[in-house]
Amino acid sequence: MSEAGNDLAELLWDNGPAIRRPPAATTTPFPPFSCSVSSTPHDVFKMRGGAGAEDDDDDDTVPWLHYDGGDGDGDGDTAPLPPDYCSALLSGFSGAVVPSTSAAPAPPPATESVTKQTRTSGGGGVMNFTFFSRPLQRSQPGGETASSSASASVAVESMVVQTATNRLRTTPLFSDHRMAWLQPPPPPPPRAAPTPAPLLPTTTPAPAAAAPPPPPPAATTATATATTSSVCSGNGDRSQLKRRDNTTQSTDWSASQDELDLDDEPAAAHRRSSAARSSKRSRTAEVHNLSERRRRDRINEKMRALQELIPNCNKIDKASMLEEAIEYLKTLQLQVQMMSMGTGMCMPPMMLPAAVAMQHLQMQQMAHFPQFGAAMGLAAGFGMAGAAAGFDMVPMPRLAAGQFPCPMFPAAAAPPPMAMFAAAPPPAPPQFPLAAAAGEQAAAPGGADAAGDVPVVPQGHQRQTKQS
Amino acid sequence: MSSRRSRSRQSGSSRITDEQISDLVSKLQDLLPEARLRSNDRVPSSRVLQETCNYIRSLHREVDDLSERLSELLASSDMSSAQAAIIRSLLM
Repeated sequence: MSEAGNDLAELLWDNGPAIRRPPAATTTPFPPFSCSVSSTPHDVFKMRGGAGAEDDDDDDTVPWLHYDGGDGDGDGDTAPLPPDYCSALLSGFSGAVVPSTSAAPAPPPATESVTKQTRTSGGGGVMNFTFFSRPLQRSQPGGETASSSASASVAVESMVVQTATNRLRTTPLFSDHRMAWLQPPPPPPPRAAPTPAPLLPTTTPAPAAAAPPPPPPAATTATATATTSSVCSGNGDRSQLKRRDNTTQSTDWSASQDELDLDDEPAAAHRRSSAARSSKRSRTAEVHNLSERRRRDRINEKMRALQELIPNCNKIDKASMLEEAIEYLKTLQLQVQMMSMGTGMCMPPMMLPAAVAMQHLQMQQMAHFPQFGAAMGLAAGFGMAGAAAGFDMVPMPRLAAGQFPCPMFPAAAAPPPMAMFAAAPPPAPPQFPLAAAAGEQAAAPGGADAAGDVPVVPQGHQRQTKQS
Repeated sequence: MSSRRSRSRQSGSSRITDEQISDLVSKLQDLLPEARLRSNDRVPSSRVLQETCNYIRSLHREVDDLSERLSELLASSDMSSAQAAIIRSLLM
């Protein structure tokens, strides 16, 4: 059954072609009509036989169909008759028929009904039909009907189904087959339903009248043919429509595809160019990012190194870390200054000239520490002035206790040595400041700030550990 | 430009710290002996940091050296107790 179903599908698709099948029946022009009129199994068989006989003629029919299709939707469809008739009709009626293009659906039905009957009659017929349908389908594109006729045919379709079902009922022989056949059709009708039915009655008569004339018997049973034809036409139209849809879809698709392609071409080019541009930009950005990241990495690395160099620096924050580093740097500079002073100060008196020279050297070396120079200048000034108390060594008070390894000179004591160094020559180190310093120092370690506002900084940790 | 962009990419708080950091780095640069940063134009902060590290190390060395000398001085007996105290304080 599945095979039958496949065939059915084919047939459904090929319904349209089936409509045109009449050309195949050209050799037996009359059968179709009689068939449609009688709509009996016998006729069907007859038709089938005819159809079967004509099976091989599809090739012939194809051109005809093509011609038909090319000629005009209405005409082609309205020509249910053999090619001869058709041609005659076309030639003769072209003028009259063309106007009623909408009528087109009706005529084909007649042939369609035949085809349908034949189809329903047997599986062999199906095969034939499929064969038929193929070429016909091929013809289809050329014979694409106008939208108007399509819509009209669609309108017919619903009726078609009904009639077809009725007929099926009437013909018990292939009822199951038919049912099988018919089952599929129902789905399409809904689609067709919305289209206006009125077209059928108005349009069909004219074509029926116009088309039938050629075949004498058909003329008598115009109404019957009309109905059957309507049925057939419906089917055919539906199929046609379907196919049309398909074709249109395909065409649309192809068109869209083409469009896409076309669009794609420029779009792709555009995209490509933009992609290239963006890629270039992104590459530059990437490079930039990379360099930026490298730079940041370097900075971070240096920061880490700096952090290791700074004692007691557990600051995670970069900014505070840097602040700490700055402070520590200042402290270190001061410490070096102090120590060098201390060494100078502690030089044995007999070595003083050398010491002085060295101090001068140190002074020169320290020239690039402006604040130190200033501090020393200040210290010197204070020392000279003899201001003993309340002198704040500028950077000292801010020093963190833990960072400054060596204890500060007490403010009172500091100036004199500084002054001494600044004013280099004094042969003998001043005794009193030292004593004062000693006193202060003695006090310092225990109670750091016991001496009031004197900024005493206890010993540093790290140097201390190192030293001891 | 790059720094601005990178800064703009970051949140407000980090932007502030970024500015702070650049500010601090410049301060740090001021503390460094000019001999270490010969170029007058803008010095990359990484270089500033590197030089800071070097300078700190050199200062440490200097401190070590000086403390050594001070300890030597302290070892020499010909100084007053006050001097010794000062030196000791310096060494500590």
